[in-house]
Order: sequence, then structure tokens, then C-alpha cells
Amino acid sequence: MDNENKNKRISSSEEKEIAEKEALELRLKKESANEAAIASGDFTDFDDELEAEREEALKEQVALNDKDIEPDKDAILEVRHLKKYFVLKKTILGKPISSLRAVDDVSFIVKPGETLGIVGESGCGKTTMGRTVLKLYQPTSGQVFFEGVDVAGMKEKEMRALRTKMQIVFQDPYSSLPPRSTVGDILAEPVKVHNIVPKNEVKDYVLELMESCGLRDYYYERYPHEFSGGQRQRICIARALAVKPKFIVCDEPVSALDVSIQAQIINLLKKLQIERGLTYMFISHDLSVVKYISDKIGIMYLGSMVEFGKKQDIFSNPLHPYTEALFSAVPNPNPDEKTERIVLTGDIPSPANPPKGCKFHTRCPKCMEICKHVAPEYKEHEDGHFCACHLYD
Amino acid sequence: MGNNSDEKTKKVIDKHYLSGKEVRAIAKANAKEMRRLEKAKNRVIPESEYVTQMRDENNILEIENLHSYFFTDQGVVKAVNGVSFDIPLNSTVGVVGESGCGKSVTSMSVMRLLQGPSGQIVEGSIRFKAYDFKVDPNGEYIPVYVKDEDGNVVMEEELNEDGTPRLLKDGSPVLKPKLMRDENGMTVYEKEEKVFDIAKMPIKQMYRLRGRQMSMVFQEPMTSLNPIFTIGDQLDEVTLLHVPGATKAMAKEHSINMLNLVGIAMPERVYKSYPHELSGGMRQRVMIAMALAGEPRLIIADEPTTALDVTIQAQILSLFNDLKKRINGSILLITHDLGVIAEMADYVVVMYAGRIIEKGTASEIFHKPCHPYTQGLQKSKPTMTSSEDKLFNIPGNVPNPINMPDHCYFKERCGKCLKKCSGDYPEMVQVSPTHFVACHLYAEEEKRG
Repeated sequence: MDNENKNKRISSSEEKEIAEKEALELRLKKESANEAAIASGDFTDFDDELEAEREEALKEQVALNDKDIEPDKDAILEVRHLKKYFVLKKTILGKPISSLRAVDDVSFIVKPGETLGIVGESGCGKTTMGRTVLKLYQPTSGQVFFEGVDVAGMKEKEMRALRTKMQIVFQDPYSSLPPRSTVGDILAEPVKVHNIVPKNEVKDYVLELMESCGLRDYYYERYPHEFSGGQRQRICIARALAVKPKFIVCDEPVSALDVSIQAQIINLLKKLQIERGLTYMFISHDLSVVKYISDKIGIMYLGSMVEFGKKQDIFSNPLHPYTEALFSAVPNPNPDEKTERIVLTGDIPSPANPPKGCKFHTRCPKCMEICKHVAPEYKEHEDGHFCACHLYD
Repeated sequence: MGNNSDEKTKKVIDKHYLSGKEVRAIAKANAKEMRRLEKAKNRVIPESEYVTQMRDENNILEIENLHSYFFTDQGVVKAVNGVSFDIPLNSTVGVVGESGCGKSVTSMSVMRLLQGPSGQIVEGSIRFKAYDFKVDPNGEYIPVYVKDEDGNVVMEEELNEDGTPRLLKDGSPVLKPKLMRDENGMTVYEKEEKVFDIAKMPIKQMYRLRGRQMSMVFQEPMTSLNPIFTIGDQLDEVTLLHVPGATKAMAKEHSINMLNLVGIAMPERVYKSYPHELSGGMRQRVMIAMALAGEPRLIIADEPTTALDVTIQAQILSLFNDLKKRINGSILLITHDLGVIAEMADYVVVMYAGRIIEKGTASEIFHKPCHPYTQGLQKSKPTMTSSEDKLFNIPGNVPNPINMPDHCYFKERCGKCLKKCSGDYPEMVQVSPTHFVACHLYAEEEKRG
């Protein structure tokens, strides 16, 4: 009896080994077939899942390799392979089954005094990225260096001191101010919490701050509901500035405002930047506003950065087809010039179930066969001009 | 920042402090006025009282001296204060202005959709040229009969339910005049062109115009579709209501045609889905399909692309341009985006604080803007081609809509004020045959010229 059992056990383990070996061989075979397919451009028997796995592994490897590199000393903010996934479904033990990839492997550098504009359609993850950089959301993986310190790995307590250096201005000035506090209270609270100035000087400090943001001193006793949208956005900006930050994320600060008020707020932001040497990350879907205010521009699509570079480079020489389409979609305020525009067909796909290969291939006017299967690499094409597209391989 | 304007705001707010007694007095006066207007709205009056003539036969809509007010407890808000403009046949008229300038209220007045009893059309006329069904004295539609070459009505045999010809007692078949039918097999009814004064029309008669003659595309497709009915249900309803004798199968076919027309890829699937299953762009397309289903001659689009992304906006705008040619109708486009207006409109109307301050053809408004507000609006919008260091900004805010000043409403924010600006509100001045502006700057010039 014993012998028989032993034999069985041996045979089963042998069988297992053989099966594993076969599976590995098959996998290697498939991988080489995939490679051959990419080289030859014939994608009839392409294994998309295997390719996705390979890309995922590659990304992780790159992120791991970059992990120990010293952060750039000149940069105020350096983001490396930042990911933020929102879990949609869990197993009973809490293991995530499916997740929404709001920010998927984004890297960039911002230098002090610069303005980085982030553009993209709604749902492309630009707001999530802004918040993850400030650690209002805990990043899933990746590193965020603020002045050479990795913020992503920090504890909440340690973050508290750093919060005075990085602030945010929210999109909707109607819902981001507490309705029961006066303007004075709203602006004095962060000053008191962070001990920016001695207690007896708080009021003078707040009044000075209000003046620099174009708010009259008698607004001090008023409540937010007494103000128009433009004035409220000024209060939000003053609140962000109250703790003397170096870096401000402006999350669509002018989208909810009228055109003539928009110009006032944009001019104010520019004035404050020069006076106080601020660095902005300006998130917006309005390309003309971003072009006006930014030094560098990043264009996002479905959680990934598709193009990044200096403003002049991006506007004079847009590389990615999505950037081109975005530019041509902006209405031209000259009725006599009828431009031929690239109209993208279809809608932005769901980030919970992004398309295989290049995420943009479903709407791309220049889509090739390889785009449907292999994701393009995000790399530098000119000096400081990054792009992820197969057209330039 | 304009110190003047801010000090002014303070004064204005202080001046407008109302005691409880005053508020009650205003509310009482308002209630009386609102009751009178509501009664007038629901009166049954003969058709002759609201059928008029157009001033110009080439227009489809003429708005003249329209006043739409909101009666609030703080006072009367003159949201639309003496607005006049025309919409010519087969053209797009764009209305631009900041939020609160009365552009949406103008469009709501045209549809008679102002929320009563506080919102009322107080004065003015809105003349609309409708191509409506003819009605016989009993209130029934008059069908069109097929006629032969000599002009005599063709007769056909009447059929029983089983399809056999119905016979008289003597064996000869029962004859009836043959009805004209269109390609869908629908009975064709006689139609005639009639001009209605919408402002005087009893509210119950408006169903003859809404949907069938003019329809509206609203700003937010998310909130304008009913979440508990499928797209198909909501689209079919339009056909079933407005096409006499329509059956469900016919309505479905028509709805799917409409979805096809607005460029929806899988109309059958969208027909069966609920609004929440669609994206913003798709919902806006459905809204447009719904507006088109009644085959109207005037489409009012109230900020149709404001809630959408740039790339989707480009899709919707090119769809509108396409449709205008195909349905042979006019579009009243309301937006705050000057770029959208420039792309779409033939004529532009610029509104500020409830009044028209400038109107003209699109190229006149964009190349030779006359009013300081129009000029400021254009300069304050950064464009893809501009490269100034500092954006021009119009200082200050729109004045309080209650108790508007007697002088020009733009005076506090204007950089080109004259002495005269403190006087009466400026009259409309004609700069060119199609270009009008309400500003004292040009009144002076005209006198000198």
C-alpha cells in the first residue's frame, strides 16, 4: 500500500513538473511569437494578454530601477511612475479584483517658479493626479519628491509641516468655502493652525493678504454667500496663500467663472507668481487658458501622460495625434477663417476598462496595426519633449 | 482692481437693505401683479387675437421690445428688459453674454417656459411664423385628398376589416375620397402658414408650437433626460404626440432614424438604454435627436456644449452645422463662448444686464466690435494665437439686477466713459445697415457725421 502511494505521489509531482515545464515552454514560444509579430508587423495571432503582462512587468522593473536614483536638486517637484488606482471590486478577503486606473505611471519634473499646465478631457485623471501629488489621495505606487523629500512614503503627521509649502485652489468656489465662517475666519484659520505669524498680528496679516488678492478690507466680516464667483475664487486663492506656500495646485480655478472674470483671476495668479515666486500646477480643460499661463504643458489621456514639454515646443510642434486633435477642436474666434478640423469620433473610453495597446487607438485618426496591440513607450523625442506614440518609433 | 466699482458695490448693497416691512409690501404688490398676469396666461381667447403679420417675410422669428421679469421679495428683477432682434429663415443667430445677462430667459420666453408665477412676460411681442395644420370649425385636422390631372378628387373603394370591399345592398362598392399618404404611410393633412404672437398666446395653445414648430436643446443633458424611462420611450413620445395618427411601430422607426441622423453608432442599442448608460456627448446627441423628432423649423440651443469636453464640443458643433442644411431650419444659439459663436453664427446679438448692447453680422461683431463691452469681452479671452503678456480684464462685476441704474448699465466698468454716460440709457445707434450698438460714443459720431 505504502509503495503504491509513494509511486502515485512521485508520479503526480513529476506530472506537475512536466506540466509546468510545458506551460513555460508555451509561454516562451508565445513571447517569441509576439516579438516576431511586432518586428514583422503581422498581428494575426498576437496574444494581447501576454503583451499586457509583459508591459506591466516592464513598467514595474523600470520603476524599481529608478527608485534609488537621487532626486533632481534643481526641481521643486519630481514625480516618478506615479500610480493611483481606485479599487472597484474586492474579494471577500479584501483583495482587489478590478480597479480604475485614474493615474497610470506618470512622471515629470517641475522647476521652481514655473507653471506646469495639465490638459485633458474630463475623466482623464488630471484632478486625481493633482490631488495625489499633494497626498490628498494616498498614491498606489510611485514617488513624489517635493524639494528632494519623498512625500509619497510620508506619514500624515510628517505631512502636516509640509502642507504649508504646498496648497491647492479648488475648481468650484461655490462649494469650497465654509458657509458659516466669515472671510476673516476662513483666512485666519490656516495662519493660526500653522503659527505663520504671532497671534496678535494675525488680523493685520490677513488684511494685508486680502489686499494683495484684490479683496477690500471691509469684506473681512462678510460671509461667502455675499460674494460673486470671481470674488469667492479670490478668497480661495488668498486662503491657499495664507500659509506662504511655494507650490500651488490650481484645479480648474477659472472653469466656473465668466470670461471677463476669468481674465481677472488669471491676471491675479500671474501677479502673485511674480511677487511671491510661486510654482503652479495649473489643471484645466481650456487649452487657450493653459497656453496663456503655462511654461510647460502635460497632456493627459485616460490616466497616462501622452505628451509633455515646453509650451513653445508643444504648440509649434505637437507630436501626439491626440494633442493635434485637441488643438484643432478649440473654436476659432474668427468667423471668416473656417479651419479644417480633426473631429475625433467616439467618446473617451472608460478608465476601468481601457483599450488594449495604445489607449488612444480607438479614436486615433492615424491608428496603425501595432497601436491596437502594443502600448507605445513614453520617451524623449526632442530636448525635454516627451511623447508616447508609435508614429515616432 | 477698480476701487471705484468696489466702493460702489458697498454703497449699492447698503442702499438695498430692506426691512421686513418693506419686503412684505413688495411681496404684496408682486402678488397682485402676478395674479393678473397668470390670469391673462390662462384666459381662453379667440385665435384672431394672437394671429398677426410678420414685419419682414424673410424672418421666422421677430422679438420686439420683450420684457420678462421675475417678481421676487427683494424687488422686480428685469431679466430681459426691452430686447428686440430677428431670426431670418435658414440662418443661425448667436446670443452671447455673461451669466445672468438674460440670454437664457430670452430663449425661455420664446418657448413660454418661464417658471410661473414669479417669472412672467410683462410686455412686448414675439412673432413666430408657424407652418401649422389647418383646423376645421370642429377643431379637426383637414386631410389632403389625392387629385387626378383634371383636379377632381380620386375615389377609392372602402374596405371591410377582413380586406374585402364593402358593398352596398345593390352590389356596388362604397366609394370614398382617396387620402394622400406620405412615404411612411401616414395621412397628410393640410397645412398653412400662420404668424402667432407667442407673448399673447394662451399657454394651453403653446402645445401647437412646442416640439412641432420649435424645440429646445438644453444646457445639461444629464438633468434634462428622464432617468426612469429609456431613450426610446422618451423619443417615441415626441412622435406620438406631434404626428397625428402615429402608431408605436412608426414612432420607433422614426426615433431610430433620428438617432442615426445625429450620428449615434448603434441606434438600436441606444434606443433600449437608459440615460445613465450613455456618456455626456451621447446624451447631448439624444437631446438633439429629440428636438429634431418633431421636424421643427426653429431650434433653440441653450448652451448646448458648455457641459462637454472640447473634442465632444467639436463633434456637436459640426453636427449642428450639418443639420441646419438638412432640416432647412433656423437655429437660435445661446452661449457665453465667443469661439463657438464665431464658428456657428451668421448674426450675433450681445447682451448685457438684460439688454442688447450690440447686434450685427458675425464678421461685423468680430472684426469691428463697437461697444466697449464687446471689445473687452474679446480682448479678455486668451486665444490659441494670441501672445500678450497681460490679459485685458473688464474691472468689476455685473450690476445688481434689482434696481438697475438709470444710466448706461456698463458705465461703472467702462474705460471710455463720456460725460453723457451719466445721463439716460443710450439709444440703439445704427453703425451700418446690419450693425447696431447702444452706446453714447457712436451717438456723438452720428451727430457729427
